[in-house]
Amino acid sequence: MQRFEERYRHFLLRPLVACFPTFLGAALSRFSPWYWTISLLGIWTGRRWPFLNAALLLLGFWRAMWGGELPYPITAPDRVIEGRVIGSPTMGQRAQRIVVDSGKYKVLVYIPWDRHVALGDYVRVRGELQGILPSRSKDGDPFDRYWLTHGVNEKMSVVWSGSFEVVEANHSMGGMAAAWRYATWDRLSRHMGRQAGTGR
Amino acid sequence: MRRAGTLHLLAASGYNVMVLAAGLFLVLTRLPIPRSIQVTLVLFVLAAYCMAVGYKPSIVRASLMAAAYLVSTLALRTPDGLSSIALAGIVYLLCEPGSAFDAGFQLSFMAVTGLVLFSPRLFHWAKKRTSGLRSSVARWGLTAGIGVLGTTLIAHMFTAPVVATHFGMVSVVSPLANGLTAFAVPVIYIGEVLSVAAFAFSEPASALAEGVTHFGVVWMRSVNEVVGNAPGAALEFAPIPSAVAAGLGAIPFLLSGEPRPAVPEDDAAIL
Repeated sequence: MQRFEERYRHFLLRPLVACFPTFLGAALSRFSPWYWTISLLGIWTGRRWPFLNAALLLLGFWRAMWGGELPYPITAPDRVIEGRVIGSPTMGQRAQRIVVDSGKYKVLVYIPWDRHVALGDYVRVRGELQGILPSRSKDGDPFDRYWLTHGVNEKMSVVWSGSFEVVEANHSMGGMAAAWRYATWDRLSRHMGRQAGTGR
Repeated sequence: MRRAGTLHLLAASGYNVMVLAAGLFLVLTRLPIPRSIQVTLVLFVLAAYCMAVGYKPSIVRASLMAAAYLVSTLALRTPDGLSSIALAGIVYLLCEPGSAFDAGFQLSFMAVTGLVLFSPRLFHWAKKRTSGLRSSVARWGLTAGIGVLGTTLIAHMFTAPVVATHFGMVSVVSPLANGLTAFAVPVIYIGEVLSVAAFAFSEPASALAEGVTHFGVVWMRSVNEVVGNAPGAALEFAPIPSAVAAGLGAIPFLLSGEPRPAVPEDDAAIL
């Protein structure tokens, strides 16, 4: 054991590194009660710093409990959702993806790619709610599990039908950052398009 | 780009943050303003960048690490890479615990941990091997070449189990493709920034800078098409189970040692 500790002193003598598994196991217990066993490893590796280790264990368990239950299917499928955009839009070729938090639940929303929307905008979306199917995305990610861990299990597409409007724009730094982001995206798209011979 | 293993270069990645933070800090250090203001400005730009790209794990990880690095230099403390990674991991998972299952989060943290653990040794080794060369240009070029290829190989080694479990493939040509295209990212960035800045004063100058960006994009695209479409560029298989990936991922950690390079022999003799 002493040889092991000497061999891996670069991990064991750094307080945050040694105590990291303690926090990780506790925080992940939100998803499965068995994940807390990772904390046992952290409790051993971080035993030189009992106060830091205990604090990270408590912080992890607090985070696991905070945020309430994991998302559940929306029983009354609203056709109109109002809420704030959390996280900046993810750009695709034909659409962009945003997550709207209505306060009660979070929904993945697909909107046309040329609509300007920024983190923090208050939006109104009208369309049909659908469950996120447990299919695999083109990247190979289990799509439903990924979004479930982010508190989302419903989606709504307003690319071809439905409506989308920004009720109240976010004029803070996020809004300016979004404007820069759209400008850069547009310019890079033009470069890519020119190379492929499909310049807009 | 996925087959060539270079998708991370144009995606919002920690590398972009490094280019942005290092470039900005280099410019600010040339200006006669206090270090604390220089650091604050860089942190402000990094915060805006995080916001603009939607708090992607790799961006937040790199920004938190850069912040830890800058603040520690301000406090006259030696920055520590492994501790910065752990701090970034705790802060990010505190906000988004579900990200631990996210491929982006895992790739970002594995790659950068590998670089922190092994790249100082690699550069030390490369410097030692090239010290015999008389021409300083050849010495610098060879060290840089070994450095670029070696760092992509290290990142590839640490991320391969994650890629295998999420995507069911491993790019064989990734180190080569990354080595050939990594320089194009700063070219695209600088060209884009200059183009935007010049647009207010002169449209031809802006178009010229846009040409620089265009060159970077064309180069990346061409290399990816040739290398990524080569036969055997990527091994494809059914995604491996997470437990197997965790076991494979642990191997490079078990092989690691103290990340700081050993005292060079010349220095040891002087000491």
